[in-house]
Amino acid sequence: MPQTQLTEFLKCGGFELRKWSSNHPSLLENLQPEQRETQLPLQIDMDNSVKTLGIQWHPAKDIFTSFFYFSVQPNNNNKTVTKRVLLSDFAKLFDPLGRLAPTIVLAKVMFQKFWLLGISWDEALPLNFMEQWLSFRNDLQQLDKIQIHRCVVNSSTVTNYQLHGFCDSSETAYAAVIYLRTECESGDVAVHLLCSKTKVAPIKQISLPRLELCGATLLARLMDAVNSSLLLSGNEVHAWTDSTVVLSWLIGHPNPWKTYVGNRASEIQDLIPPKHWKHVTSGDNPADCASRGVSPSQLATHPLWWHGPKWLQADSSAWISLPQPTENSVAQLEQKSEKLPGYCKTRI
Amino acid sequence: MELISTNISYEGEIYYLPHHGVVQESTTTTKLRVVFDGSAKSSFGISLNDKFMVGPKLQDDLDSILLRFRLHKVAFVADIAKMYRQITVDDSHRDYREFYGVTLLKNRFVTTDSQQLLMEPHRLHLLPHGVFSNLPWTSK
Repeated sequence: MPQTQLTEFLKCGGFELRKWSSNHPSLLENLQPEQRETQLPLQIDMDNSVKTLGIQWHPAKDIFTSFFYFSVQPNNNNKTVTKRVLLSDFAKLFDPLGRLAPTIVLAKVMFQKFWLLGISWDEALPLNFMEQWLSFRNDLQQLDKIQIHRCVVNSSTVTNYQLHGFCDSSETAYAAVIYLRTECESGDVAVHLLCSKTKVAPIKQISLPRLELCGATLLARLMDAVNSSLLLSGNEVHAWTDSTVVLSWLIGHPNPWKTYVGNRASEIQDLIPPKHWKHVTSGDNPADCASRGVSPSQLATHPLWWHGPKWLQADSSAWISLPQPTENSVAQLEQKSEKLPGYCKTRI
Repeated sequence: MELISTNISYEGEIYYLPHHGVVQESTTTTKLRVVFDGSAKSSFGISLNDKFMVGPKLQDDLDSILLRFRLHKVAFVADIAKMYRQITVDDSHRDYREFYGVTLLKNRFVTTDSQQLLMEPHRLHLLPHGVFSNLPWTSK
């Protein structure tokens, strides 16, 4: 049994394991009560969660909870809100896998906006900006309602693992999000959010198609990271974007495109081959939540964000051969200007 | 930890580590732990931490661990008890981890059983908290 093996192995080095917690009682049965963090029988009430690697886990229900620990101090309204206070609040949102990205991106965008005001670290924010932040901060407590199932694999007889990545960009931010889709022997399909990443659009104006391409780059890198951490054998990768311009850039060789597009297209193709890229409508694109932002109160019950588009939970025939849009003429705007190859003259 | 005999004169470099106790009421296990200040400058102006090369992080990324934590039906977590205390330091390096400890000595020759506090040099055999060389094993 792995538990005994692990305990024995670590004992060789003098390392004793304690504070055991598990979602399965049989793992805890053989242990002395003082070696357990979670006691038996497993209790369903909410006080019985443990904190592991900064994440609150409730073993009996096998869910993650309490993503957020920030108490809104009663005297907060009297406190001057400065960029320093803001950054300190902001740093308290611990979300390593980006599951709260649609809400956190709102804070990121707000922070960028405050930055543009050009005020110093300890100067008070203008009143309307301050109110904007405080109401957002208040709303954040709604995140406490969120509960995420730990286990993303519903059955032990999974026949097919698929990673589905979506990317999107708005004028303010771009985002990538990845779901794990599992098909079981029984034909059941489950789709769970794994992780996501967002970035605010640079202050320097960039065209929307280019931002969409940045989103695709973000997705390609994230997909690569997830793929190498999960090490699922024989899993399929699917990448989705709602930008037909980006699809046009990714289909062929990146050579005809200007440096900005060409470099990114080439990197994306290395990480996710062109044949895996598909088109999704904007309304069905969950990455849209994270590029535009979703208020904390709406995020808790947002099916598109937590489980992806509805058709993804259906049989794969529903989406595997969706019609792909034809090339977008806007893509041509990023074509390198034609230059005749110059001759290199060297003096003899 | 070993007591250093004061009778033997020692030549070469010794570094004395300042330390203090930290009481944590909230922990269930170790209420009082000793923390060493490896960043304290010695009389020659350098600290122990200055002299350590902080190696690479040895464990996996937090993201990877958290992602894999969701793949299996049965999951468990556990802590390693008193991890630092389980790692010994090579003999030749022990002189750099000396500290003055307060030894509580019972003076047997005094009939009143009074206790005497003595400061005596000790040498650490184990990894102390608060010293950089621990980072590669324990950083999160």
